[in-house]
Amino acid sequence: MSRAYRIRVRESLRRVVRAGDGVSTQLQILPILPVEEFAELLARQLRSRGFQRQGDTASRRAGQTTVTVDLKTGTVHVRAEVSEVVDLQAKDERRIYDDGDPSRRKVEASMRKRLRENLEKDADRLEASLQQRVTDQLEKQLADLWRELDQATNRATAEALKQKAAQIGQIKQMSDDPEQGSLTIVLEV
Amino acid sequence: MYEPVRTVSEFESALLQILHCLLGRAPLSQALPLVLRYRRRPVGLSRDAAALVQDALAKGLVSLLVKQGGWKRARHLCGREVRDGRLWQRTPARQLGLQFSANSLDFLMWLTSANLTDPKIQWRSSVAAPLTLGDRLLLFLALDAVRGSAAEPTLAGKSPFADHPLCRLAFPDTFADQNAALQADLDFAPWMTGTAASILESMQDRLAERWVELERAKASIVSPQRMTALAAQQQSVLDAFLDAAHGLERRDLARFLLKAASLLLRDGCEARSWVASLDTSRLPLASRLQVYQAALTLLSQVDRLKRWQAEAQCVGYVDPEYAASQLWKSDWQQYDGDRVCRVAERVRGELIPAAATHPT
Repeated sequence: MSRAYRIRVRESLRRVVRAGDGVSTQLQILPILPVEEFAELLARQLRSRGFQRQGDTASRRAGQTTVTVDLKTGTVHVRAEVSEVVDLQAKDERRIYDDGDPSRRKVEASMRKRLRENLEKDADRLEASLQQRVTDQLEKQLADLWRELDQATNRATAEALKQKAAQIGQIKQMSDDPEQGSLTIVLEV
Repeated sequence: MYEPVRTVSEFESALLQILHCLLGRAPLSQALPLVLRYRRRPVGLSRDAAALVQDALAKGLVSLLVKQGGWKRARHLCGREVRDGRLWQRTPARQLGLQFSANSLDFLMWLTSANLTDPKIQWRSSVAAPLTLGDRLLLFLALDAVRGSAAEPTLAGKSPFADHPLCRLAFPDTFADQNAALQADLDFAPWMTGTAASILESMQDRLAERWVELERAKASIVSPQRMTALAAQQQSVLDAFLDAAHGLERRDLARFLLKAASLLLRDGCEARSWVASLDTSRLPLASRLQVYQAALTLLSQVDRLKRWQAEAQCVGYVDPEYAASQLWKSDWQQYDGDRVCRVAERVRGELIPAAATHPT
């Protein structure tokens, strides 16, 4: 004789979703002084902007974004990474009529399997969404970051020019306008 | 003088109507229905029809080139000399003649008989002669006429259109739409001298308008792949064209690019207008920046035009290319090249900070 059963299943998924993105670029370094000397000037400028020096690199972390500058080559790596724990739950209910246990177990197993697959897909979607947010955020930061690094490089270059000029002759006059990005040195050789 | 009435067949009448539309004597809307249906091709044309075709080509193309810009007073190089005036004042009329071979007739007959909605068909001339400049100009007009219609795939992307330098220069978007392969060996050298150069001279305004249209249309491109494909076509043709113009000292023929850049790069223009509709949500940052760089292909060519200006400023009075350099400097001033460069740099900086493109 057929009997009616209500099957309720509940599944949960806990996953750590990770997202990261990064780019690298090159600072424009003019060959005014030897590489090591210019690296020191650049490190000084970056330190005043919150960078920490580790050997031949200087790096700064702000939130999820890390910026690393190779002081000798001028290569800049910018990377953002974030991870989140997601807890997802889902449930399903069905009414079946069967004549025995095996049929009921089979249906329940099938329902659980589908719930788990759906939860996996939801987690994948959240991961993709997180990835997009990380990339969007990094893209927004790039312009300001580059302006800052450009300023640091320009100041280091200005200092390098002053040192070089002092090596060539006696500096009679100097005018430095960081805002306009101009430096005028009058030398007596 | 009384001219006898010429009688033509239905096929020949359709052919002549198509030709008049290509020459701008009738609306293109009249030609399209004629090329989108199959018609049985006769063995040849009657003497009357051939005479009418000859007459239309001889007068129509000249009229078209004059209307497109040949009537305007302009300064262009002729040898090492700068000449000022209308097209026929800068170059004697006897040097402006266009030759047509049997290829033109063969093409017109194919155009009239074939159903151009079939993308598998292709025009292959049954004439053993090479294409003349007149033939090539006719092909250009045909592609221009069918752009955006159901007939476009049948012409674009296939020889002889795919390796037609002027078609590539005027319609890179059409070739991008048809996924046409890039042409590594586009040869613009023949277009830098003689009558071909005169055609480019008279098309300066038209080419400038086209490139402005191309750039403004980027605001509605959604797919990064489409943007990249279009940029590749633009880059490929501009590299070939500018190499030829520089190498053969005809920088004046690149004036249309300077004009287009000047119209596009106004002081208030925003970088976002090039990528307003672009969907880069699924791309990593390095790929996004590469697509942005692709979108700004024309702006990267401004750097090259700036180098030309720097070179021109170093040319002395006694140097043989003095006149050419003075002409370029004059164009640069007319289109405010310094402002164009300034705005181009700002716009590029907004979208692509320091060319950061390598993923990490």
